Amino acid sequence: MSTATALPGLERMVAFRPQMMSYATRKLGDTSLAEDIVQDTYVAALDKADSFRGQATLKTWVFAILKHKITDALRGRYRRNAHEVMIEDDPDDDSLEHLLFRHDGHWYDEETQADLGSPEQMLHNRQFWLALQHCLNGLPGLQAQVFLMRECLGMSPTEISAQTQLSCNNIHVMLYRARLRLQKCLQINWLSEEPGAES
Amino acid sequence: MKPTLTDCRSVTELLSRAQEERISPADRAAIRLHQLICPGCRAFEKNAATLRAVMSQYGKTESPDADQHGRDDTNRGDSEA
Repeated sequence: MSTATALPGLERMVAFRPQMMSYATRKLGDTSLAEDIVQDTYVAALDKADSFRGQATLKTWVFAILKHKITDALRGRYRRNAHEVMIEDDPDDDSLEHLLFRHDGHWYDEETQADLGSPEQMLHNRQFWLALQHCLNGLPGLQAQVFLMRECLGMSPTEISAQTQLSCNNIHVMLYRARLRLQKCLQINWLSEEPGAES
Repeated sequence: MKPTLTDCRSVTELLSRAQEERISPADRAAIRLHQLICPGCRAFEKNAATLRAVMSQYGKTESPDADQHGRDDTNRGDSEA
């Protein structure tokens, strides 16, 4: 519906509420906590919501924030219960780099670092759009949030730092990992799907 | 810790950083030299620029099939976590 994009961000975000609630409840196992987290997410997402004009792109933004808030909540809870938890947004987590690079820092397989193509037709190509959505949604929440702040909202690392309380160095690391992940993901989900692409 | 810029991980990390801030001419030259023999690091730089161009349009764009998107993505946000 073309009128949807003319509505203010808050009204458009209301449409996601049932999905946000069911996602948060499933992750947290606690309806009232999920309620709080979804509410917090609305507040945090609202500020920039109007910058995401498409409904699906707004959703990517909102869910990036939601996922991060859920991680934060789980982290707090697990710490109280003295459990170990894998922290998806841990800036020191370098499992991806270990998959891509050998211990001497060279690509495992540099041939797979294929050229994604040129940007011109990409966003009008439905297959590419779906692959991009899929890959953005696969990023850890905070990484996605930082990447969208940088690339969609055009915020500088200093501005992102002021808003997220992350150090500028952490932001550089997150952007780097987001770029590595997205390139890898698009190489798998876009290039290999493209008709006529060499395999 | 100063990266040596002879390995792909350091080179791509600096190439990423170069999207946010100016890097020194010496680093730039070391990257170019490395890229002469490394197609993977050439592709990373080109793809990073492509992603930037695409993402600058992303927020302004409705999906090519917006109507379908509204309905069919109940797993949205669920793929990794």
